[in-house]
Amino acid sequence: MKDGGLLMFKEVLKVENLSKTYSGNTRALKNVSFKLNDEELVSIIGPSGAGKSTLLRSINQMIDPDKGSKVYFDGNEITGINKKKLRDVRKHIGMIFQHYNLIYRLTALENVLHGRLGYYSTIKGALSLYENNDIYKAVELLDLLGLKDRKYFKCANLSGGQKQRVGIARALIQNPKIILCDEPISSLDPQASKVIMEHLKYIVKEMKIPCLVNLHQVDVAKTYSDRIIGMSNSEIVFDGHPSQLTNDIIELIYGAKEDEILAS
Amino acid sequence: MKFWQVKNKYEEPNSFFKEKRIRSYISLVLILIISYITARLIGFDLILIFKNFSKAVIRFLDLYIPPNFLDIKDLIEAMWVTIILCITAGTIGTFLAYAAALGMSKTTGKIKPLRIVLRALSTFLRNVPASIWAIVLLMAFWFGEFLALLVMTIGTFSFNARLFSDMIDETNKHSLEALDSVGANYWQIVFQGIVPETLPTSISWSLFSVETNIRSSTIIGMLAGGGIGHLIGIYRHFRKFDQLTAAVIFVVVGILAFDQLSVQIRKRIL
Repeated sequence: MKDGGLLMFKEVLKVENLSKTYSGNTRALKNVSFKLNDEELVSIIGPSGAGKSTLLRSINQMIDPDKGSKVYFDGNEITGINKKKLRDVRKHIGMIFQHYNLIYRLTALENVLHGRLGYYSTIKGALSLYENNDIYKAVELLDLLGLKDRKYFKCANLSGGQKQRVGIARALIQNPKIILCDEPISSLDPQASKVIMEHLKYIVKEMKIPCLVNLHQVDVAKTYSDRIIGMSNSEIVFDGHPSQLTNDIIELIYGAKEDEILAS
Repeated sequence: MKFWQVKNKYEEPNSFFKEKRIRSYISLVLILIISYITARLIGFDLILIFKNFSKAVIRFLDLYIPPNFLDIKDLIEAMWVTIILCITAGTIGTFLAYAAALGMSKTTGKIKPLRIVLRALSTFLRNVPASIWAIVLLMAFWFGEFLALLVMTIGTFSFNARLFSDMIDETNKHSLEALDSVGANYWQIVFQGIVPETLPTSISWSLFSVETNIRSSTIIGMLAGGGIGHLIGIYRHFRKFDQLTAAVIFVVVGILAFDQLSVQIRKRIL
């Protein structure tokens, strides 16, 4: 699928009328539609409870969206496919989490290799019978992310920023076509946050893997994003270039002006 | 008195403590009264006990002290058998318990009927005391080491299964979510996520099971046969109380030694 316009970017992800209703009629998402192109770092901003996390998890169906929602990944519809096919899709979608979501008793290297599990048979995956290629690739990624001397550290003993870099390596080793980041810097200090955002920028521009990033920090979103999606009350209320994100729009998203939002 | 004064009961801070003290005294008196009534009901005479206490102590010392290590060879052999039995029962029971826990836990047990059956089974096995199992199973398996092993395995299994299933339920759901998101399947998530996160604690509990087994091996051995408990039973039967003391000393030393060993192992794995 090609985008018809002047930009010949490939469309990797298309979301149409995505809705999610939790039991008790709480609507987390209302008819959300957007596209994600190659070489794009798109931030989703919005207050807590706006539906950012639900949106991200509905894409790789960690959360089942409502009927009628459509998600196209790499040109194919992935909503409503069976479990086996879904696992096949998931192995091409990297995911990075706020709480890193590593197995803390295992080493950084082992956690990175978890990214390859989707490519292995049950037995080989369960017993860590990884192929040499993958092991070398994992080492290479850890080196690239500045964790050369942390390979054999248990993840419990790493700092927050280091844990998140292990999380990034785990996503990268999947050879993903897209990476979903759920508030990747919300648990980190400003310096570590900057490192992580620089890595994401590098991943998008140099490795050509588009990223969809949930963010709480408006200024970070403005600095690093190619496009910003603003969510409020389960709906998309803004989708445009960071320069278009005016104070009025920020007020529309957050119900407050930018300078009124603490630590924005 | 105004409304807010009624609500604020303790105008003086020390009246709070005064009231608390009074409450403690009342509780203490109540406990003493209950003890007295129940003691009277079962004909428990405190005065008689005090009167004859010195006699009882003298008789105890006379019978049990000094310990007699005449059969030291038998004792060592029986203690060795006991330790082997306890470790075997501890490991088999722990393995089975882990497998059952995977089926019992809400996180990993995907089949609801299986979950219910396993939970009921482990609850039932756990709530029947080991000594009763020894007596009941005696009819089917007869006297000997195997019966002792079986009874201790049941004990370890039923206790650990419940413990492990709670432990699996408490593993970090976030970590498992990440494995799910990379396309890992059920067994991959179990072996790459749940097992590494729960293994050290499981090992720690299995060491504790072995310790418990050694402790209970005295009674189980007496009832089911095998190991040091069997020997204790024989000594008791033939009124060789000084030798019985020696056997008890062996058990205590065994428990202390194993306790030290598990402390060292725990230090290295946790």
